[in-house]
Amino acid sequence: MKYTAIINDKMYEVEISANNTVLVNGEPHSIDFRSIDGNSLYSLLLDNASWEALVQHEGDAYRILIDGHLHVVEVQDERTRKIAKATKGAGAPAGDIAIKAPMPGLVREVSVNVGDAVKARQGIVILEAMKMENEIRAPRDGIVKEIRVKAGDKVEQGQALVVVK
Amino acid sequence: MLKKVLVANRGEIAVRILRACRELGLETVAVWSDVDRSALHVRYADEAFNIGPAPARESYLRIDRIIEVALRAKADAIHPGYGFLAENERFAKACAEAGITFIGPPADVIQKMGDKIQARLTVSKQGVAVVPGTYEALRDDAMLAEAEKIGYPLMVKAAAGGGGKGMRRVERAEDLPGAIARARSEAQAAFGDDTVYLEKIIEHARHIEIQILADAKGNVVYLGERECSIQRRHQKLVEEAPSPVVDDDLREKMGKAAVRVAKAANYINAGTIEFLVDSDKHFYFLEMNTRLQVEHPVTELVTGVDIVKEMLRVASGRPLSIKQKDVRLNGWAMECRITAEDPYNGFLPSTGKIISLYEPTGPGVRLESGVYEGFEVSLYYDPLIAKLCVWGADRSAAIMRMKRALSEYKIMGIATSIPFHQKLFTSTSFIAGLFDTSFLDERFTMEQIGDDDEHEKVSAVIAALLTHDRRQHAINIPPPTSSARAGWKRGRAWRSA
Repeated sequence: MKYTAIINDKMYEVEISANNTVLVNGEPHSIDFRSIDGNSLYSLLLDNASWEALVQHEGDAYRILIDGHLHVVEVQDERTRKIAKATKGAGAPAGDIAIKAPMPGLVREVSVNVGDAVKARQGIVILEAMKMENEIRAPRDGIVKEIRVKAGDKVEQGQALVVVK
Repeated sequence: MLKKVLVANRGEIAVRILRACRELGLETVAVWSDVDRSALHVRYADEAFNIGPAPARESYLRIDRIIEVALRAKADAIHPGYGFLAENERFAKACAEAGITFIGPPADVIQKMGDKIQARLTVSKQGVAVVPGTYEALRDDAMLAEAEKIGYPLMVKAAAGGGGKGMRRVERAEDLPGAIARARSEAQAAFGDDTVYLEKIIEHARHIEIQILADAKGNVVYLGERECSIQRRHQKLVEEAPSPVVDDDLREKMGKAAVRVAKAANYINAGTIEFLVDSDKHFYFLEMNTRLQVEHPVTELVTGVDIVKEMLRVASGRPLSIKQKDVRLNGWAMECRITAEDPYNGFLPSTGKIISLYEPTGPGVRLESGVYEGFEVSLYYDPLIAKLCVWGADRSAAIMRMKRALSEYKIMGIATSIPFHQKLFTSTSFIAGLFDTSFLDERFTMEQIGDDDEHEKVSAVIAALLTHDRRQHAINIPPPTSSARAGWKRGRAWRSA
């Protein structure tokens, strides 16, 4: 079975074959993979290199913590990949994203205008909470489609601030 | 002698103090807000009392309720920890009036050193250099005139300040009136006092502080320095002891200056004198913290002195257990503040339930934690959830040990500062000890060091294997009782198709 794992816009082809081997981008590796705590901790021996990972599963994505580094991995198999291809570009992030307030607070500043092109991690809104100013950033590149708040607004946790397409 | 101690705090510091009490055979009392019923400190203490709703001003800042609990539980002393009521002279006074020992300096000393302007005056009279600036509460127009004499860039600071609040950096004269107005309103909101003062900015300075201990008999000792220059927007993130730039001669000079300041203030109990040290190794008094510091463990690790136990000892009227000649520094200690903040997203606070937690251990590792698996990190309190401290024979051994400990530390469910610490500990400037207080804000980014391809590959393989397993179960094992994860729970080896 062939899968495509997407991490930070990079693609890894992972083919799972018999005899505890996988092909990663065509290169064979031996694997031994086990659940450790029946929950979120896993151990992987990849060509005898020992890796320990905490895994959290959210929809189509996995949040995988290895040596303190968190990787968000989206996996597609041949079928879901075809569907994704048919609807949009290959695995490219698509659709509108509502940037939400991670906490209740006071909007200090909206740093973008409708129609602005924004880069991933660019500051979008300054939200004051717990007497500290927090910069809310864009999760990915896009165009500002809608601005739903203005400076001085009080917002609730989870309230949409800006929509990026 | 003390018999029963109430800890008026929560989280890791409450647990730290409760442990010291237990080691001394003292009975303990915890207090908790509605969201902290299941918190570690509540379960650790001998007794625990609810003091109100989650917001701190309705619980951990309620002097009346805490005193009431102390009287009801017959506690003879209260340790305030840091934050909350730790530097509140009204609290220290209320304790005294209720006949309860406040474990910290007397109320009038907290007041005298807590007012930053008054502290600057007290210190400068001792012949200790103070950061150039203003020495009295001035009106805006007088402050503008003083600013011309001090020179730019400068800092507007709240007299009642702390924790980076009510602080504004000003580059040019025309920006000063606005900065004063904003600092005043921030200070009013945070401390209920809008008095501000000016301080010259010493460029490329390091933040280095001296820990002192003083008893009621007039003995004052210094326990060496802590290097605290790794700060983000005036919030310390990493501390170490000793400092890479302090030699024996400078340590003695700074230590003696700190002792002079403490004596002049009639200081009793544990305190910290913060200094700025410029590139020519001149040091200037910044402020005094009249409480136990977050970063006290690094001093404990290199001196072998238990600061919290000394605090309890002094509060019970006994002399310090050590003299200056007993204080010897051994090796190197470092502390990483583990906060519930996302370093990849501007250190935005992260809340939620900790769903998995694996903590570092092994030689030379000391973890001060206030959380556990299943703990819900809320927005109500400080984002500090734990302090990871290590000891090594020298600085490079401590760095290697911290890297090792960080890699063992696994927290899932919330974002933490751990990835920041991992990047910092691979930074060549940090490893070389070449940094000042502007380092993080001006010369460090999370993007600076490339992501590890090997980690990505491993993540990709794991995600693919888990997806494959779910697919196989969905196809082969349809019974409703079997979840996709059931196979893992049996702990069998994973088998490929």
